[in-house]
Amino acid sequence: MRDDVNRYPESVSMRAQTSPRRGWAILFAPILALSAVISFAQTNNEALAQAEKGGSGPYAAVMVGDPTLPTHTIYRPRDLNVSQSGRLPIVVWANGGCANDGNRFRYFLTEIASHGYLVVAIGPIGPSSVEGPYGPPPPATAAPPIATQPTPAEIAKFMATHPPLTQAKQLNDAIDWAVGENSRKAGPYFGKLNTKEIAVMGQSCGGLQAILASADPRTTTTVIWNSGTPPGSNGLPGADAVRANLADLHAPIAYFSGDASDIAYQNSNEDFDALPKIPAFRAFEKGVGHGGTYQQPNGGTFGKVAVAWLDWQLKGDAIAGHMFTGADCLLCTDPQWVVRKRNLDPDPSLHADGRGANTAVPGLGAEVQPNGKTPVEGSIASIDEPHHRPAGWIVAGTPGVLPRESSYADPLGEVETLSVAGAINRQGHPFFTPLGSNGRACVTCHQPSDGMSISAATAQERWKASYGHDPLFAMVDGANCPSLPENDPASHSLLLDRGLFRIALPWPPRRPDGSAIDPDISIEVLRDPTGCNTSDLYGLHSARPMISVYRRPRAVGNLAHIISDLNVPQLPILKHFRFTAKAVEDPYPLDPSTGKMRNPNIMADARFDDLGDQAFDAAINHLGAKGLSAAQRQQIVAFEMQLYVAQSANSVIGPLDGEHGAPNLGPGVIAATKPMPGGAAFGFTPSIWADVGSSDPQDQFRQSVRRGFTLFNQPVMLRNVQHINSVGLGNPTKRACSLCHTAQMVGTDGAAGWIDIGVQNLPWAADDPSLPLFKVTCKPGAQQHMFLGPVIYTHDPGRALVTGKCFDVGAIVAQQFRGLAARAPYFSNGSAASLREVVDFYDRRFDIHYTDQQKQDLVNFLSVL
Amino acid sequence: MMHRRHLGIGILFGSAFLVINVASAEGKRVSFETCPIARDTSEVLCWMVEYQGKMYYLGIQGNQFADWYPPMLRHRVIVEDAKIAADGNQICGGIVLEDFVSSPVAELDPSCDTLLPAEDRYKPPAGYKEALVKMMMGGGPTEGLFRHPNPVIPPTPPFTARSFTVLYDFDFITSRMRSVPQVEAAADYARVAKWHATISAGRGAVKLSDGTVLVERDGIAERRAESLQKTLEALGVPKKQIEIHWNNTEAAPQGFEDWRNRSATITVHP
Repeated sequence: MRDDVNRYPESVSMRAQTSPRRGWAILFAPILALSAVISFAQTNNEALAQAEKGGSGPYAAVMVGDPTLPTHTIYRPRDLNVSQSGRLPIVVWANGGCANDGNRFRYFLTEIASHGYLVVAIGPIGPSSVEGPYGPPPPATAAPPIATQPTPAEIAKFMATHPPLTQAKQLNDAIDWAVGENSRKAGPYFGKLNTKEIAVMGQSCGGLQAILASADPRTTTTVIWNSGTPPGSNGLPGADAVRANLADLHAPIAYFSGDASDIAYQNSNEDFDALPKIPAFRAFEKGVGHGGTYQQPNGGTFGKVAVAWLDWQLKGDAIAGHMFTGADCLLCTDPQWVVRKRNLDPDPSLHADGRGANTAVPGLGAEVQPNGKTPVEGSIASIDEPHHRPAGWIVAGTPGVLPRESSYADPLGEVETLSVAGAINRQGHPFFTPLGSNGRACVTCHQPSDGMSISAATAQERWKASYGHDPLFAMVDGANCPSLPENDPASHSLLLDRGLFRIALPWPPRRPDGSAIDPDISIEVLRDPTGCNTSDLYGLHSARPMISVYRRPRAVGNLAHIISDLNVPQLPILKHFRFTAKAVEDPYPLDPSTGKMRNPNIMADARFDDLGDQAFDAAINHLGAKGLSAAQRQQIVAFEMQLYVAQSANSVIGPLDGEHGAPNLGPGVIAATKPMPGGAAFGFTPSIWADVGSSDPQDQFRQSVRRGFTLFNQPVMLRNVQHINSVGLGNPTKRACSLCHTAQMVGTDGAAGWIDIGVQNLPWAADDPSLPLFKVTCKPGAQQHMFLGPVIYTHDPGRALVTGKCFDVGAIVAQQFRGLAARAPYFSNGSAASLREVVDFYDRRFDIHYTDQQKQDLVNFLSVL
Repeated sequence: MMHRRHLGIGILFGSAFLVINVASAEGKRVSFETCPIARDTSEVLCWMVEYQGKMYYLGIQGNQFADWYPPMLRHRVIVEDAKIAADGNQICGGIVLEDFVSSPVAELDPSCDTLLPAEDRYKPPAGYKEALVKMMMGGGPTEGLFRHPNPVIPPTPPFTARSFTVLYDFDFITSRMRSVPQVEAAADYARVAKWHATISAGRGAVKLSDGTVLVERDGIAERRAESLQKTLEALGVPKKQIEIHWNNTEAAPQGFEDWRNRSATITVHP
């Protein structure tokens, strides 16, 4: 094991003050601090006022009892419909002194809850006099000297009259209750809790209980406050944690305490040294004693640290994690704090310049202010700003784990990723590690929290959080054109407004062997708002002629289904789609290793049909790398092929997990289903929600989703679509959406899926002045686009930029339908800001005349996929 | 532009003649060019054409391996060698045409844009669902949906010279799905036998019943030959084994089975 940072000053040696009695003393800590409490409580009106107000977080919190768990106290946002942050992670708490008063740490726990957590504290609500038992940090000279700690006789005497009133098991009980409440349809927490993100915490004696309870496999992280185990038994029933119990810990852990005046200081240090190989953080605040800062308004500094740790660990908020990660982590650079950590930071050797991988990101979080100055060291307040917390954002190169299952709030509920192979250690993994010159990794533009793509809203959050310095905004493709001024939002308007990245393709197109294709179209730039297509350096008439188009990144998930084998015995037609007007002159190539047709539906223009080739190309063109090693290529493909993503909860009806009468729509069912290019069903069955009929909002929503699924499979007049109506089906053809969105679980095309639905080509596409406009003219004798003729005006020639064919102009590969709610806007050019705009587009395009209700039904259906 | 050549019988007189002919001799074959008409029903689309004042029924929408492909609005359609149902049978409000070949015309014609709304009195043919299933299922359920009607059988020796014919729609360079097996079979044969593949592509002309002759655009035979060459190469036939020929002089239309001239032949030989 390796200490990434060891900033302990020699004068404050963590091993300097060893006492065989300190294990017992932890129970006495509340008593030792009592005198300070009495004097301080009189003046703590502000802290109380803040608690009454509900904490400083975005969700005003309340402290309540619950008749279904009378032995505990609940802290939670007043409004449980926390639409912005999705389902609430769970925090269970054991009090100092193993006390049985759930309101004893009211200020601190209210603060945590106000940031979008359900906190379940041991003990019912006690008298208000117990709130904030620990006073402000007493002057150092007043700290109880170690020498005055109780003797064994004193401890035995105390034990005889003051046995702990609570048990470690009550923490596990709290977890059981929360998990059960999440599934109890009649309860207020139904579908509102994130039962996969659970923190176990405790202070002092409660910290010992937390260590015992953290053996629970459901524990996501453990946080020990002013506590640590003794080497041998302390004899405390219900809290008899000893050092050997540390071996049972499995989740990332943090120990926070006061300085050497804290009676638990030494045990915390020794625990840290004795921990198994789990990510671990240890820090103490100078000038703070065993009472911490819990009684200060909103829990004081400890409250801020707690929220940051939980946001990082339970919500995947890397910005919050910057308080703990990197050699220059916020606590590391705060002169008030002393920090040690282990297995939290990446191997610095990942970077040629020797920086920690996570610190390779310039300007992240509070590092750079708008004025360009470095903020005050240890400035914690800056990361509490909501816009600094894009939930779940993974910074390229930061350490950590992509859990087997990860859930993230999205605007319509929750999206989930499932890593079938188990948790993925991000450290050094090529999908998560910057491999090139611009600090980006694959994950930069394919974020789990955004359904493995990236939304425009997230791009905007990143801009605010990094002041435009995030590698996401690399000029090569994160700007409208590399020649534009850096750090000017106008230079990145297409990414910020529409989530679009610049894709520069050579013109004329080239075959895989590099030889030029003689296109049967000519391309003229009619409008160039980004300046790139007429640029002397990047444009169509530059020394290396290129055409720049702007496209959304596709979701990197469910790829086992998206590129499913087209050589299906039950559907022999599919393999013949390498021919027809789509590719008659250039039949889609066969996989040389199998002699079969590959599924070409990976990219918008199908220019790569092999994930490894796509990754290699992306490493060069998006990450600024020179390429990928064979091992990196294999590792990326292996990761992508076992990753599944889908909406897992809906903000109206809760989990979509096959329980509570809901269809099983989440990533698990995709992973468990054999990929099939036909039969789009998404896990729906004819009977699903057939019997719901009540007028309550949840049943109304379920009925709407069911109607939407029916509409999805209801024929409409599909007309004037190149590569649908032109391939023998007739124009129009009366078919359903599922004609093309047919793959059983993901809704991609079961065949080679590039079609001109009208998103890019005028007149069906609205002329968008922010996008380039090209005039494409077919050469005499060329096979034309059947419905637009020899001259086409387009924002993006699509597949024709790969084939050079007139009949491919504007043809784009149909996208998958999973995790849609997490990754707006939609269509390859981001022209639909919402799912409603997607439906509106089709309604106009095919003159369907859906009613408003039908449109909403389709939106609701799409929102749960 | 489509090339039209009027033969001895003028359109005006020819039309008048054909009206009489059609009316008086049901069962005889007619060829004509017109706008297709789509008629909606409660279930599927019926495809119709209006010819000389009467509505005729072509068929319903199908799949890409059907023997007949529906027309496309925004394009005219050429109907060749159609036999008018002797019993005057009507489907979807049109007299049934039988045993015809239809081809869309590649050139856009926005005036061909008639989509008739569904009316209760017009129904698709009885048993169409079963027919669709049969078409899709091919030899039976065990062979699965969308069975290809002409599966490619790997060639085995002894080899003899063979010819494969690829048919095209009017003015089209790309072949339809139903011709794919011919191209694949030719490529397989040439590749396995390691024989030469000689492509001969032609340019078609259609003589309509009114005497009008429609001629495919100039140069199309060459484009068809070149396109097929690329296809064979992509299917693994070495370029040096492929020889292409084309004849840009349109075939003389006979007024019957002229669609056979919109074709290319791949001859595989030693």
